[in-house]
Amino acid sequence: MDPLTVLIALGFCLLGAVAFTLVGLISGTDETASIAPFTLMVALLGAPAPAVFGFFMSAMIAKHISHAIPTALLGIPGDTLAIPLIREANLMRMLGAPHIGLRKMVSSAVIAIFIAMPLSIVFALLLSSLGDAVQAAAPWIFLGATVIIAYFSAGRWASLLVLAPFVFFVTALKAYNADFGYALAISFFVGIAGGPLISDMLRACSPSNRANMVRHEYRRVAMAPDVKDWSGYFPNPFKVLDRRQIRTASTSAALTSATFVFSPVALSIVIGEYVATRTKQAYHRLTSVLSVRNGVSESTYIAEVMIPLIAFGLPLSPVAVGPAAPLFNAPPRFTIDDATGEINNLHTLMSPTEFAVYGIAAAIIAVLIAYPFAMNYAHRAASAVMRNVSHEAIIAAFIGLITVIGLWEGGLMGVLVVFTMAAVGGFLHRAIGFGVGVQFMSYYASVLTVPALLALAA
Amino acid sequence: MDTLQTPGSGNEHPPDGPELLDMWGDTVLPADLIKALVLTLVVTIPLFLIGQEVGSAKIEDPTLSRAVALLFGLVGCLGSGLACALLFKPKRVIVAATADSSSRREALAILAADPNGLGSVDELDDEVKDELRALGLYDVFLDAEQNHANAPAARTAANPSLVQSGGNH
Repeated sequence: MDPLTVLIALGFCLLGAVAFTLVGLISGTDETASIAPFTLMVALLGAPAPAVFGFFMSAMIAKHISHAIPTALLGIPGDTLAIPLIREANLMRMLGAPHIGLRKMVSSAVIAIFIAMPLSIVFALLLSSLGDAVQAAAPWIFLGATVIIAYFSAGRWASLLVLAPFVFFVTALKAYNADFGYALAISFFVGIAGGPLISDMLRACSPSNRANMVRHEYRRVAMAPDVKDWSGYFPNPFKVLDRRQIRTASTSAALTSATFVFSPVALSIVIGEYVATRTKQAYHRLTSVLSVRNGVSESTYIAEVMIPLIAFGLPLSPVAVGPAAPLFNAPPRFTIDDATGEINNLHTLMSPTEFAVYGIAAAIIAVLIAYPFAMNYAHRAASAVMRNVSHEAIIAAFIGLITVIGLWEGGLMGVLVVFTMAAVGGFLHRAIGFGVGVQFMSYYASVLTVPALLALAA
Repeated sequence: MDTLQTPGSGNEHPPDGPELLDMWGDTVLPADLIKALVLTLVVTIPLFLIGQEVGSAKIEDPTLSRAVALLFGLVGCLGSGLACALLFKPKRVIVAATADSSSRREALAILAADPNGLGSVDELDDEVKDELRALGLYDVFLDAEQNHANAPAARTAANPSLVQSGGNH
């Protein structure tokens, strides 16, 4: 580790933390379409490997903390990870204590970060002795993981039934691209991430569907009043949570940092339900469920990036194939050769010690910036965003982003892939609950499992 | 929930104005959305293409020249997003939500219907009791749990059919 690399890496951590603390305030900013393109750019600009990793980690941690602000104060999910918290967040608002809900959420996330970061590294090291075996068995592991994630998606049996046709569709689209000499990957992912928006836009163009979307007055957003009833600038998470909540948050963070295949949303729902059944008093149940859910989505997210990155170098989790994809695949800089299985990405460029050092540095920087921000300025920030940032601007920027990524990766062909995936994936998501996470995994099942299956059959 | 109009935020949509659409979790005015999309694409795509030309003309390293094209495109997105935010105002009315007794009652009713019900403040550790007292919610929960403890008994006495369905609580 030469001093210049360390300095550049810390600079990128700071940049990621500041930029994505602000992005997190805007609800609807999907990580695959926001953090991934900028991480890709940092990688391609030639930033040292630790800087690419540090930028991604601090951006992701900062965004996870600040997206709790619209969730708690406005009742609007900051992004998909916040959806399981909406019911409890709204009840806290009705009781007049949304600021307490927010503080419990972010404080538990901070504890979860510092538990999940080291533990997921330990777990990755344990698994990495299996690295070669895992790489050899990757086609079947991806298939298994995709089936599990499909079963746990909203569509359940429908998702399982549509899995094979969808994988086949992706395979066909990739083969068509290959005929023209394209090897597209990121276009597929941003297309899938854009699905829910594109399907809404298409519905708005169809008279029969549009009727269900029409309204005649502005949307009313009820904003909770600003309350500051603690002193100082930097909060202590151990004072915000009570002893039992600290125990629950820590234990669940530790347990979930060993998992890397399940979606963070699903795990946060399941563990939140478990805590709810074990907490009798209603107020305590609300704050405990809020804190444990937000902690679990944070720790799972970290584990889903760290474990596949350190142990395998293959994006073996819903987070690794989506938002974190550029850490694995950013051609020509980072590549995974589909045919030979040769890996050249952060997995080969950084040692486990470097992952640990830069991971913890990124976490500290992100927490130093986003945590006091969320505790002190939540109300003013949320209010400024709601008053000044129109939904039209967010949608336009999102469409602009996915178009640029498509153009960048494959010119017109890339753009066609983005919008084809968005239209098909978006409707499967809306109509039968075939979730975005399953669709991400289907891409890899198509790249890895389909050739292996065909080889078996031959 | 009782809502109060905050002064200065009163940009209500006229009742006879053009129709709005609920899309992707928020409200848009279709005309503004189309303008925003056109503006973004008209700025972003040419900027990306310029970046591609500049990148391949001036920079030898192919990775870096591709990064420059991407950089131009992303800057185009951010810039046009900012312009759209300035040009098109949000279709929202921000109201101050004040939790009053009716919204609290509603929340308590929802919580009472949970599998674990309201529970009892007696079971709480002292630190949680203190937290509730500081929020002024301790007595609210205490009253609610006593009312709920009495109310179902009174209802079942009046209507025996509820005894069978009581297991659902």
